[in-house]
Amino acid sequence: MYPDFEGKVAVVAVGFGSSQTVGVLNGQKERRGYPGVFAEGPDNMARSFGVRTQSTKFGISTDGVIQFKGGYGMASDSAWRARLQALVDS
Amino acid sequence: MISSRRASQVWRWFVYTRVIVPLDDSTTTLQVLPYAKVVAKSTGAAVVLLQALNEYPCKLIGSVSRRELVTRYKPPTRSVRILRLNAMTIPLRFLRLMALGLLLPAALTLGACSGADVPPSTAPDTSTSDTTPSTPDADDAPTGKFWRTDIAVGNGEHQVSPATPVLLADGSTATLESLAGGKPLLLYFYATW
Repeated sequence: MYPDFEGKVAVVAVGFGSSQTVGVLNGQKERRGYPGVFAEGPDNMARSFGVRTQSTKFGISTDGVIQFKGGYGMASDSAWRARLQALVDS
Repeated sequence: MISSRRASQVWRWFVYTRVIVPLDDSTTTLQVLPYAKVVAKSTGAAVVLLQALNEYPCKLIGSVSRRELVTRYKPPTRSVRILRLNAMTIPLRFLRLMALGLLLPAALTLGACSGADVPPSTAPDTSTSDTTPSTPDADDAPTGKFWRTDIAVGNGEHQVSPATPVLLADGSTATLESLAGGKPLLLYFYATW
């Protein structure tokens, strides 16, 4: 579904866990052709975002306000599409 | 299949508030400890090292002592508990604990297999090379300030996200705000494992 939102939503993937360095993440990004920016956050980043499990996602509007937050298996494709559209419209 | 709403509720209350590490009396199982440490350190979860024995008391354990466990684990989080249970008389409450700690993540993983968690796939023209480590999103990012400063920063809905600096592939740093570049941002805490 991402191509439908390309250019409309910025995607940033941040490593979860100290083993997930930016090099490791970008290796997988290039192998699999994932879009977006893959980056490495500071050690306390997951905690400051209240993240308890990998695959947690935040939808943040243009003014920096968190619109949704969810983890593993949060929603179906159609639900994600609706959420991303709402994010674009926010 | 767990509904997405239910999974979210379960995730909020149970998953990774406690990491249970089953161990036997071999040094082989200790290899899992660094991974448990990573998860615990990232989430602030408590760690329970669980060792089931055929007999009790513990002096019959083999080569791994409690001291060795603590030394090798080097607990980073608020608590580490080491339980040694007689395998023949494991109380029901510990079975429940194990079920929560082991089966629930498995169930959530199965739920995730529905495809909702596959990272946004295959953008046709945005592949990058080693010589251009920053993605087009990063390259296009304006440097202006976009995020509100008049409401509280936090990690919940309707709060302003922390504009945390992150390290990019080219060795530079950028804030989430600058990476968003005035667009909505999907921030994904991702792991390759």
